[in-house]
Amino acid sequence: MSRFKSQDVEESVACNLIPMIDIMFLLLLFFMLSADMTQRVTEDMKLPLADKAIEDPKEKEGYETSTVNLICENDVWFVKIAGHGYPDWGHLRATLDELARLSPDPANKAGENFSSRAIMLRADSDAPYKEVQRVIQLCSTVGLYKIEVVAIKPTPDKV
Amino acid sequence: MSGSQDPNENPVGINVVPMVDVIFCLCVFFMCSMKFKELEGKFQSWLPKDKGQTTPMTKDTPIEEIRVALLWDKDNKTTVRLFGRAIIRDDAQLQALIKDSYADRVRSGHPETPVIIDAAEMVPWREVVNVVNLSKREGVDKIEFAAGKNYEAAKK
Repeated sequence: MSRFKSQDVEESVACNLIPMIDIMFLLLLFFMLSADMTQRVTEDMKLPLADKAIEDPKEKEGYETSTVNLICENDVWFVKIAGHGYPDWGHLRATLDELARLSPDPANKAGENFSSRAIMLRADSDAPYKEVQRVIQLCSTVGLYKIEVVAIKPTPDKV
Repeated sequence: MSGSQDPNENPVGINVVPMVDVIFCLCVFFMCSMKFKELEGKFQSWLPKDKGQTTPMTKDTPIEEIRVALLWDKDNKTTVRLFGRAIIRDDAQLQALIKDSYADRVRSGHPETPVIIDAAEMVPWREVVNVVNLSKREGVDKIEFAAGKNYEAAKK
């Protein structure tokens, strides 16, 4: 008799996995939906803080934008565009020139080669000014005159 | 999801343990790759179309600008900020000086007066953005960066 009783007890302690699976599915769904699986145009870096920076408007501003990241790896400052690094300034110039030609400014007069494309310049807060200046000069040379300097709006704990 | 786990009732029972393992792995992957987005903003800075790098200045050209110089102190690895000849101690002082100078320019009918940031090569970018931010706080619309070395010309 006692043997039967002990068997009953063992069976009743079976773990029900179904609620745990439900919760895990919900967690999985949440993480999958919040994950950014798009092509990364922005690099991880420490951006400068500025409370007066204008938030990116949700509606289109009437011009195309391209993101240019100025980052440092192994003490070398270089530009990354859409995940592609440009340690060589000649190649960078060619790419920027290509970008500029994709959207010529409709207000261009004869002989002008300005572009309506804006460059979102994301430069690391520690970047020496000369590196930023060089990127801006390069943009100006190929006709990209709309430069947007990206900064982080401070949250209360960062003020 | 609900159902009896009695194998006698449902002989085609599914072993859920491998599935739980896989979902655990997926959850861990997505949790590790998750990053909270920081709120980013931007300063629009349209480069002049009609001006070259050097603007010729004659002796009679009136100084119609508010210039902030950022110098790099190599020994202490810090930025020295100058407004005119005054060394700036903190942000509040610089903001007050920009405010006063800009108010003067507006009173004299020149609200288009730019703040020119003249930074040395090694000054960190955050210091430059900080001056832009302080100028924006005082409602200055036009902010210009003083032309430094012409890298494109230097290459040729």
